Formats: sequence, C-alpha cells, structure tokens
Amino acid sequence: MIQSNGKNDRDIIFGKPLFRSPFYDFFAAQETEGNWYNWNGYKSPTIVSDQELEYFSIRSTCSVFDITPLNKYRIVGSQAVEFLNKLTVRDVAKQNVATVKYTLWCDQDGFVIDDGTLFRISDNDFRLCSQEKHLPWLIDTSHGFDVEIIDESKHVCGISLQGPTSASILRLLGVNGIDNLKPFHLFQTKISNIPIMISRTGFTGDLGYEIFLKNNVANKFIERVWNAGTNHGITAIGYNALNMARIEAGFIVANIDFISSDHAIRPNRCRRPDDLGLGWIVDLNKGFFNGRRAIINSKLEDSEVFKIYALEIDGKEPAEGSIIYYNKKDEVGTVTSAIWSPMTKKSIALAQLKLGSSKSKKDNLWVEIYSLKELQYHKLMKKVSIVKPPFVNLSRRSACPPAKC
Amino acid sequence: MKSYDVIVIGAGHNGLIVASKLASSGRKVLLIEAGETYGGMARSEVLFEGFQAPELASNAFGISKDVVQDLGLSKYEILFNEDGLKTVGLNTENENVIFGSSFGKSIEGIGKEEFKRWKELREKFFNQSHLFQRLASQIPVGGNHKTFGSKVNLFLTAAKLRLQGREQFQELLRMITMCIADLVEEELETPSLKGLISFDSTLGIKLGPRSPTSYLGLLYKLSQIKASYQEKSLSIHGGVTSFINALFKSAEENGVDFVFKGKVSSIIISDSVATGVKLENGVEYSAKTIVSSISPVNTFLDLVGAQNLETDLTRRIRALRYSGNTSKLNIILEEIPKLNNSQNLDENYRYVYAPSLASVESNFNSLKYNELPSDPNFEIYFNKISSESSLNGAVMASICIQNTPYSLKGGWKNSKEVLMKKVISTIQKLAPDFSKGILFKSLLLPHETEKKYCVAGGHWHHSELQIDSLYSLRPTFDVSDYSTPIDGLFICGAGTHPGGNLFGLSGLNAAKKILRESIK
Ligand SMILES: Cc1cc2nc3c(=O)[nH]c(=O)nc-3n(C[C@H](O)[C@H](O)[C@H](O)COP(=O)(O)OP(=O)(O)OC[C@H]3O[C@@H](n4cnc5c(N)ncnc54)[C@H](O)[C@@H]3O)c2cc1C
Repeated sequence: MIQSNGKNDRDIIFGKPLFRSPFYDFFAAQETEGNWYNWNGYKSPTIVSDQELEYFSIRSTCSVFDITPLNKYRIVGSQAVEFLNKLTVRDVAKQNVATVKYTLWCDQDGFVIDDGTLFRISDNDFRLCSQEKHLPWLIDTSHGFDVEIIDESKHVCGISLQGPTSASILRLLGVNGIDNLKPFHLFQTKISNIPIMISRTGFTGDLGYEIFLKNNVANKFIERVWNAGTNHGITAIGYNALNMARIEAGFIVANIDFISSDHAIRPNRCRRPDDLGLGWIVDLNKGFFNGRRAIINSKLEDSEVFKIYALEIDGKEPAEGSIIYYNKKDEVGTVTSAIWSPMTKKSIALAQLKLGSSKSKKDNLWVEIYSLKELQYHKLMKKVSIVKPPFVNLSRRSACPPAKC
Repeated sequence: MKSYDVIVIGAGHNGLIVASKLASSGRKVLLIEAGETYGGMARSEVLFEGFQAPELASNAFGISKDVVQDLGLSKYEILFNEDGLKTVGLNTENENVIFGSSFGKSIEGIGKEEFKRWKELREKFFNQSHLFQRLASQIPVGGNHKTFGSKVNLFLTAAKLRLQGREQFQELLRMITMCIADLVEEELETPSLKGLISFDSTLGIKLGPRSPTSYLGLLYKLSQIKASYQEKSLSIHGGVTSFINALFKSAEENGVDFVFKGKVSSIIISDSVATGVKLENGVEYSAKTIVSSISPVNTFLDLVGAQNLETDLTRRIRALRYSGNTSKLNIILEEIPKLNNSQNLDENYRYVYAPSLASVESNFNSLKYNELPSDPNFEIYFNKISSESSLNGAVMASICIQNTPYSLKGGWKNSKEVLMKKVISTIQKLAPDFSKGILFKSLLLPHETEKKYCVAGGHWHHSELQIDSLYSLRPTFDVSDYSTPIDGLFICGAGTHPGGNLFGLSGLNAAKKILRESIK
C-alpha cells in the first residue's frame, strides 16, 4: 500500500523546496484534495480527504496526524535541569522522570517566545518540542551549563494517535503498559521490534498518544499501525481537523493566538504568560529564570494589556478574524481562532481582548461577523460571553485505564 | 564572614577611585585585588633586577580634572610634565616631525602652509571632541537610567552643540563616522604627520586609519586631553605611578581596607541580589554593595555566571569584542642611544614610529588576518633609572607595539622573538647603537596580559571602544548606567562609559551613581 519514491524527500510546490516527512508517502497515498501547506518547511496536509470526517475520527474513532515537522531538541547533560530551569518558567526539578509537561519560555522582558512540551526521558535527558525554531536561543542560554543541545528535528519523526479507539489500537499492537499510562506520562517500548517513545499527550483534549521514533523505521511502523487500526476506524487527518479539536480543547498556538516575542515587530504585540492565561505554570519561587524579574515587575503595575479569552458566541456563524466590541461601539480586540464547534454545537472562539480591570465590560461584549452567503456579506452583531476553557472537557481524556472500544 | 558596606573588586585606578569616594562618604569599604599591589594595568611591577616600574600603561594623555578635584588629590604629589610633552614622529627617510604638546599645538619640521592647514584641522578636532568631553562625565541616559537630571544634561549637551551654529553642527555630523585617513588626507601632506595622527587615533582599538569611524578614536583621546590639565599631561617620569600612589593614599586615608593576592572567584547571589564575594582561596566577605572594576566579560560571565543572567544579556556580553591588540616591550639600556643625526634621543620626548598612514593601515591589515605586521608601529618613552637597584643610572625604554594579534596564526611560540627583533631592528636603523646597549628585555603579549592582569583578552579598554560601544551602548545597552540586573552589583571599569586609559571617569561616574542610588 505504501509506496516509496526513492530518495527524493523534497518537493517543489510553493516555489521553494519543502521537506517531506518520512510519513509523506503514507499521507500522499490517501490524499485526494491536493490541499497541502508549509508547516515548518515540511509539505503537510491541510485536509487529507474530508475535513469533517477527519475531525470526527478524532472524537469518535482514531486519527493519525504527522507531527514530524515539530522542532525536537534533545537536552542532555549533568546540568540539564539547571539549564531548563533558566530557560523555561516551570520548576523542572519538580518534573518526574517519564513525564511530560507543557511549558513556556520568555525573553528578558518576560514576553513569551514560544510554548512547547518537555519530555523528561531520564534524570539528565530531556526532549523539548516546539512550534518555532529555537536552536540559537537554546545554545546561547546553555552557555555556562554542562549540557548539550542536539537538534533532532531531522532525525526523529512522530505520529499522533488521537481518539477514543487509540488505546485499543495500541493494545492490538502489543504495547504493554498502555493501560497504566497516565496522562502526561511516557515510556519507551517496541512495536514489532521498532523502538518507540510513547506518551499520553496530544493537542486535541481527547484520549490520545504521541509516538516518536527514528526516521529509518517510519514506513514499517506506520504500516503496522494502519493495519492494526482498520477495524477501529483509523483515519489519516490534516491540520484543519486537528485545529478544530485544539480550539475545542482551548489550546493556543504561537503566531496564531499570540505573536512570539521573537517575531513581534511592534512592541505592544508581545505577551506575558499571564496575558495568555498561563500565569499558573510560572514558578516565581524556583529562583532565577529568563524573564522572571520582568514578570514580577509586571504584576506590580496594572497597565491595560491584551489577554487571551475563550468566547462563546451567539448563533451559528464562526467568527474567524472578527473584531470584538464593547457596547457594540468600542473596539476591544480581535478573534484569533474560531470555529463552529461540532461537540458543543456552538460558535466558539479564542480572542485577544483589552478589557482592563473593570468587570462590567465583560457583560457587554459583541462580535461583528461578516458572513458570506452566496456572494453577499451579511453583517452580524452577535453577543459574546467569556467562558472558562476548555470548551470541551472529556472524561476519557484522563480515564485510566482507558476504555476498551 | 567579615561584612562591609561596599566591596570593590580590582584595584586598578577606577577601582581605587570608587573605593576612595565611597569611603569618604562614611561607608566601610573593602577593596579586593588579585595582584600583589594596586594600580591595575598601570601598576608597578618588579621588571628587572629588583627594578620597579609600570609594565603596561607608562604614560597618560591626561587624567580627569574632576577626579583630582573630587578626591582632593592635589594634596599628594602628582608629577606632571610642566611644559607639556612633545612627540617625535620618527622616520627613516625624511626629517622627523616634532609634534608639540596638547596634540600638536605647535609643530616643528613642516612647512608654514602645512602648519596653517593643521592648525585649522586641529581646532576643528578639538571643537568636535567637546561633545565627548561633556558626555564623559555624565551617567549615560539609557535602558535604566532616565532621571530628569540626566535627560536635561543630555539635552543641554545637544543644545550646546547646536548653538555652535548650523555649519559646525553639520560638519560634526559629516565627520563623526568618517575614517581618520580621509580627514587628514583632505588637508595634510606630510607623511609622518599623517602617520602619527593615524597611530594616535587607533592605538589600543581594533581599527585602521581607513576603517570607518576611526576618527572617533581620536575624538576620545582629545576629549580626555580636554577633560584633564591639557598641557600638563602626567609626567613620563613616574607620572603614572605618582597618580596611582595618590589614589591609593587617598583610599587609605578615607579608611578603605585592602586585600591583595585575593582573586575573587564568584559574586555570591541570592534571588538576583548580590550579597558578597567569594575568593579563590575560599574566604568570603559580605556587603550590600559590590562594585566590580574588572572587565564586563569577566564580571558577568565568570563572577556572576550565566546561570544568574538573562540569555539576552549574556548574548550581548559574549558578543563584545575584547581580544587585545597591543603589546608592550620593555627594554633596559645602558644609556640613552644617539640618533643617526647624532642628536640624542631625549628622555623628555615621546617617540612614535608610524612613518606614514599607509604603514599604519598595513599594520592593521596584518592584525585583521592574525598575522605579524611586517614593519610594526610603536611608541617609545625613555626613562633614566634612579633607584636603589643595581640598574641605577641605566635607562628603560617603554615600547608600546600597535596591532599585535591576540591569537597569532600559527601560534606565538617562535614569533614572540620575531616581533621583538622587528621592533629592535627598526630602532636600530634610527639609532645605530641601540641594540649594543641592551641589558634586559621583555615583551608582554595580549594573551599574557590577559593572564597576568586578569583582564579578558588583555584588552586596553577591557572591550573595544568603538561607535557601537560608546555612551549608553557601553558595555551594552542594559548595563550602561553602571548598575546591573543583579541588585547591589555595579560595574565601574574601563569597559564602562566613557572607557579606558588612565582617565578615571568610569570610576567617578559609577561612584556618583551608587551614592545617588542609595539616597533613593
Ligand atoms: C599594553 C597596554 C598599554 C597601555 N598603555 C597605556 C598608557 O600608556 N596610557 C593609558 O592611559 N592607558 C594605557 N593602557 C590602558 C590602561 O591600562 C587601562 O585602560 C586602564 O588600566 C584600565 O583601568 P581599570 O581600573 O578600569 O582596570 P584595570 O587597570 O584593568 O584594573 C583591574 C584590576 O582588577 C584586578 N582583577 C581582575 N580580576 C580580578 C578578580 N577576579 N579578583 C580581584 N581582582 C581582579 C586586576 O588585577 C587589576 O588590578 C594600556 C593598556 C595596555 C594593554
């Protein structure tokens, strides 16, 4: 079923050469839409064949998504913990071996450079995955620490299996220990003699797993997984379906929901962890780390800043790119991500709003949606309510052991 | 653990100034120095047979008047050249040019027309250096330092410049980033005069006369002359030592405690606050205020440690250019040698061998590629030795060699001798009896200075003094006002504004900043 077209791992499609992940052939063989995008230099599917079906595979069967284009940095050395404690905002000393934590890193002004997941493989061995490239920043930060930073991005590939039947497929593949694997935990094992690292993580808010392995065994691996999943509704998916699930889960993405301080040109575009609603992961008591002083100082001043909010919007129209108003008049911010959520049956959105400290504003928010219907725009003014994310909270996400289905 | 109000790290002239000034305000001050004695790169070392003299900085264009006044140094004996120091531009082909004190107020050995042109040019140079002189004694307005007073000062400086008239102002803007080569070639003809000015503009920094912005090197020196006693530069006969001794006495009288042979290995930091220092021998001292006069590279990367600093800051510190480019050759001679034309080399003159602008530029080219210059440029002072040592009556030649690579292509192993020979053979051409009279000689290369004087790169100014590292960019934007992100830690060495040389304003400005900070 899977064909390899030889050594060519680049494709000229957008006028510049794009990499192909080792799973490219697998996705290309199923793809019918011709809908690809450039994710971090890789040719990646936006839609494989049908966005809705792909989305529903996440929520009702099992989806396969290629996470190879993520940047993967290996951090090894006797001072790996100290280094990561300077780099990131959480206390890495408190992170147990064989666990995964979502984390952030900031510049000297306390502005978020990026977020990512930190896998603690052993005492002095970590893997950091991120959306953006950060090798120079990591290397410069490592000055003075006994630690080695290895960019594994091109050597390690990854697959994300998300959905209620994902655990059952892994059981079929003979992955012992899947029943005991708690959310945000990981272990190393083999599938048909292929060494893999598997973690119970994902970007969907559903039951799911992320699996990392070496490039050279990718084809063999995906074939096993695919075959094991035939009776469990396994479906190859593209970014659009994943994006719907991640919005429902209330996850934010760098350079979509906030601008990484690395990229921001206008100074007022930078955001601190508090502004992203992620102040809770910052450990101000762990000692020095990049951005600490600025974060502490920013808590003392109560200047008006943009913050990210989760919104539910009246009506059925998705509000992508819309402007939010206070009292239907005063602009207070913009929607950064939005969908019609199939799970909640609501129009939901993530937005950056500048509301200040006054509570009253929150009850009088409106969104202006330009809804295109047969070549005519309908201008809608819809009521907005601020809710606490996630929009979708599934008990199977954290059930241990996961149900057999 | 012994406790003080203030600990100063490094007893160079800047460290001494800070220590003395803070002690005079009633603070209990400890000065910790790695070497055996005070003076930093201007300290006296036992050089030959028990004879002591400054090994590196043996002369000074000028020390800041403000420093002398503020610390009341005039009550100590400071030796000045009362009638100014003249420089002879040595030359193997043409007649030597004699460059009068106060940077060529008078010149012998050039035509009348040429002198007229020089006079105008010199006046322009001095006028333009005024900006630098004014800024030199101000705490840079920048990242952290934005007080009303400092802004007013900056505004007044700018206003004063503008008030000199539109033309002069435009002329400054036109010239400020130019290379010294274009400026002197526009106006002057005499090769050795152009060579001499090129040499003085670029000694100590890594630029050639044709490098853009090399004019700034000259402006810095002229501003130093203006901020000092102008004609009365420090005497070449013990002037530097008398100044350093005066600073030491002043510090002592103000009650500063000293620790010598105590190399600080780290600054003790808890929760981003400096609380003390730890020496290599394990002894610790505590203080609320720590002032480091050593190079910013050493201060931040070695003593504070990258673990305690933002990546942004360590990036900038590591990007500083600080490999030294000047070496020092000290020679003991039986007597003062005679020149070809049977004139004695005079111990009251400074001699510069930089016969032409092209020679200085070609020296710099060699440096760029980490090679030895084929015909090195240098300056010499002669100094009659009158001491109790067996060398009494002999003469010391202090020779500063420009454009000496920090890391020489192929290594320094055999080349040290080669460099010495090159310099000596040049002098030999001018003064045929020179090498006969040599009793001792020793050359200190930049990497040797680095080790012996504990200064990263062995750099004259601790880090390059160029357009991207002046004023509020010195040593970097975030630490340009002498304070640091570590509470209680300040910096005050040559790596801070205004920069190196025996000048003293880095120390004085830093002390003022610390006093102001504590009122807050
Ligand atoms: C070859 C050469 C020739 C020069 N000639 C001249 C000249 O003729 N005229 C002139 O004006 N300038 C000259 N200079 C420049 C001048 O010497 C310096 O700019 C000046 O000495 C800087 O003074 P400072 O007080 O800032 O630092 P320094 O003089 O460098 O003093 C720093 C002190 O700190 C001490 N120290 C370092 N690390 C530690 C530690 N960890 N713990 C404790 N103590 C420590 C050092 O031992 C040193 O005593 C010359 C420089 C060189 C390299």
